[in-house]
Amino acid sequence: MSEYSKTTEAWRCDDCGADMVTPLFCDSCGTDYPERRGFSAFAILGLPVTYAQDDDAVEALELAIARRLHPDKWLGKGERLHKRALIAQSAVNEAFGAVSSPFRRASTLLELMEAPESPKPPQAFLIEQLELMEEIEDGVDAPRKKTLQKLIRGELRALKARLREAFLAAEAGNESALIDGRMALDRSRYWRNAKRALRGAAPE
Amino acid sequence: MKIPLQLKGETVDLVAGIDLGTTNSLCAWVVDGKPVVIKDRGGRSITPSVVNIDEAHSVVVGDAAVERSLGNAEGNLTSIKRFVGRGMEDVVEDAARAPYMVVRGTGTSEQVKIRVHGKEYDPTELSAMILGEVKKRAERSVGGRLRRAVITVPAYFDDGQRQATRNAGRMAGIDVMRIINEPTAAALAYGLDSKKSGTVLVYDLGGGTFDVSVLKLTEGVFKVIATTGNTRLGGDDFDNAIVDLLIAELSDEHRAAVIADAQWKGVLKIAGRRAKEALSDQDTTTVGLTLGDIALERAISRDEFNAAIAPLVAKTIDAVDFVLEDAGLDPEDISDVVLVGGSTRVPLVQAELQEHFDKKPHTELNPDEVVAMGAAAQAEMLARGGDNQAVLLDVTPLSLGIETYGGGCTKLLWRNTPVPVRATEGFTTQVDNQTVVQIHVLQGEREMASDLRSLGRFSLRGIPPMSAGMPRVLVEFFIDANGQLKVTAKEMTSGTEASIEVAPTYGLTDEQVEDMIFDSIEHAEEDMIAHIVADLKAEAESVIRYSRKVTGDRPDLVPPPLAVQIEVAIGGLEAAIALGEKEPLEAAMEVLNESTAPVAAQMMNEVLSVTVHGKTTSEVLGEAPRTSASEVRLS
Repeated sequence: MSEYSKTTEAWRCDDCGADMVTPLFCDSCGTDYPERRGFSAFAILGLPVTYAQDDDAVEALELAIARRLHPDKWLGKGERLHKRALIAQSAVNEAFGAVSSPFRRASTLLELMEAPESPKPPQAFLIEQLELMEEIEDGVDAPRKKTLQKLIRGELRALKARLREAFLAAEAGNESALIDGRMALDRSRYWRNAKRALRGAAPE
Repeated sequence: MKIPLQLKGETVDLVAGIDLGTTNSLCAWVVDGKPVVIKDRGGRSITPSVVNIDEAHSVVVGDAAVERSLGNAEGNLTSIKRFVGRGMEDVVEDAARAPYMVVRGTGTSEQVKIRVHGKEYDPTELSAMILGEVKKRAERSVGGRLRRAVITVPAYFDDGQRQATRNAGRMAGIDVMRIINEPTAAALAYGLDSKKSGTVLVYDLGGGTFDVSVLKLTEGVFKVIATTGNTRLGGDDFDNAIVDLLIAELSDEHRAAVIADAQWKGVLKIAGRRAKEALSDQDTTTVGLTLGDIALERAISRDEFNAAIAPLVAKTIDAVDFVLEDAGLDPEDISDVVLVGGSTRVPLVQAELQEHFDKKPHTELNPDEVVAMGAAAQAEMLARGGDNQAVLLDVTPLSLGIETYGGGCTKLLWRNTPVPVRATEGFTTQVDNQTVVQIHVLQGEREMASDLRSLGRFSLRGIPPMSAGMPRVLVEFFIDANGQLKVTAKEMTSGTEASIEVAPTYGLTDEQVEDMIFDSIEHAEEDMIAHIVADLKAEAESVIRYSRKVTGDRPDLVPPPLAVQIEVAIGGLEAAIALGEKEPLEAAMEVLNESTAPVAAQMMNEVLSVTVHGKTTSEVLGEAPRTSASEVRLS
């Protein structure tokens, strides 16, 4: 829980004192900090450890970091610095992958907070999903596809709202709310699977 | 373009961007901070992506290949890009449609081969020939050496196709700095010019490929947020739609004869393209073709053309919707629509996009040139390095993962993940005392390993005997800024480690590539001027051969005074060849070309005439009558 409630601060380089966009690497003097590579995705990006993120702000941050860190910027500055920037940028991109979409962010947070296992979804839900997948596999016509897409979108939207509430409650001290968060995330996997199946492969 | 002054033994280092297209290729470089497409002496920027191989296996590339295509249709290789880095299973339809023979690959590479006059050629090798021609022409125009370049590929190219393209560059003696996506390059060209922020959709309808990508531009940072495409849809299909209209006019007997005839196929293809181009400006066009004893005349209206291509355009709009959904965006979120590829000039395409997005697509830059320009900008940036440059954030085009027990696939990296990136995942063993783990690297979106493309496999050995489930194998995927994938597996309790740099199945081994590098070494030692003269001599000899053939084959078109004039011009050119100097060679070639021009023009009109509102071929094409024998080409 300690990591969860920790507020983030700007990192300063131990060597030159400059502000850093990520604790992994100072783009001012080129010092890297390999011992920090095990930091959480939130810490690597300097983001508050919370589910409620402004997605636009996260994206703006991604661009701001890339503008300073991207290895292409370090091409003329020697192999050693280029490699450090490459390693830092790849870790940063991995971190963004873990926090940039609501469901992935939820999954990362639940891992980080060591949320307890949730009970399996009820039989009725599983049967419903099984039937849905069978229907999709057998093929659906365009109007039915639209209906199903709408249904799935609605379900996913509701699950996102449920996740938001669960994390809010957990932040307020109610750790058992995380079980509900885990349940919502588990269910979203089924719906996202159905969404993928419905869409099929990329149009060829 | 001004040719830079050359000091002896010193040449310009040309850092280029190359758009290696299915139909045409272009080369650009940056002059005074602006990307510029390189044009040759005649003002041509396009090198047709065509290789022509005759029965003696003499190879000509580009314009020369198109020129020879009428006499040697069987050995005329177009749309080679469709086969680069592909296995037979990938290209069944394309292989059936190709006017040449595509056969299964043999030996270590599963890449298909192209059989011409009894000999098999590797598509990578053929692409290298095209790149070699592009390189040669650029060097001749700019007066420098092209050693380093950025080459573009369709966004949907998989790793095997990218690697094959990279290998083709190496074979042509080019250090390929990076392979970038064509739509990304296009956005880069636009972004550099206008320095704006927004969400851009790039609609790239090339000759043989279609791509659509969504990119975010923010203060000098480019990021592809979603991309999809179709490697079997392009402007060629619009041409084919017209061809279908044309041959529907013929009797069954004639149609069968035409379909079976390679020369007819070539002529129809060209007629289809010209009619498409005419219908971009005109409401109606008439195609008239005569070859042998079969004649064909057909008026086509734009409405008719629109109806014929409507299903194809609808397919592209489906892909637009797909990519928007992938990016989590609605049409109104798109601030700019960028058009790439000559076929985006087709009015129906622009109208459909305008309706879909409720805004006019961008057409400020030449849609044929914009990709090469963006590639040049990127090449310059990589060559210079340093700050204050646009940064291009590229993404993985397809998901990457490894095979797990039972034939499933665990994805480590999802498609559209920005690179460079690292991803790790823990695995364990399935049986007791297992000392070896197979790591099978897979690419694609499906769930089962058998449906995915295999990028390579390796073994992690020396795991200490333990109960199943005890060893902890950590697999790491690392993709660098060039998109090169390295996979490492490590058993954590013992520290055993193994890794591979993924060499795609459909590429070539390094030794194969080394064997095939046919240009770089000799080239590096050649004096630049000598090189130009040698090329000019070869070109001059081909012009002489062609002129003799024309006058010999068609005495009816060559009245005696002209015959004398041509003979004199040939004599002059032969003297210039013997002298071996640049200017006299150029001048003498010009003289001969001028004297054969009327004959060439006449032959052209006989073979193919596309008339629009009663105009002649050359008027329709907006060209002066052909002035050069070496330009008698149907492109």
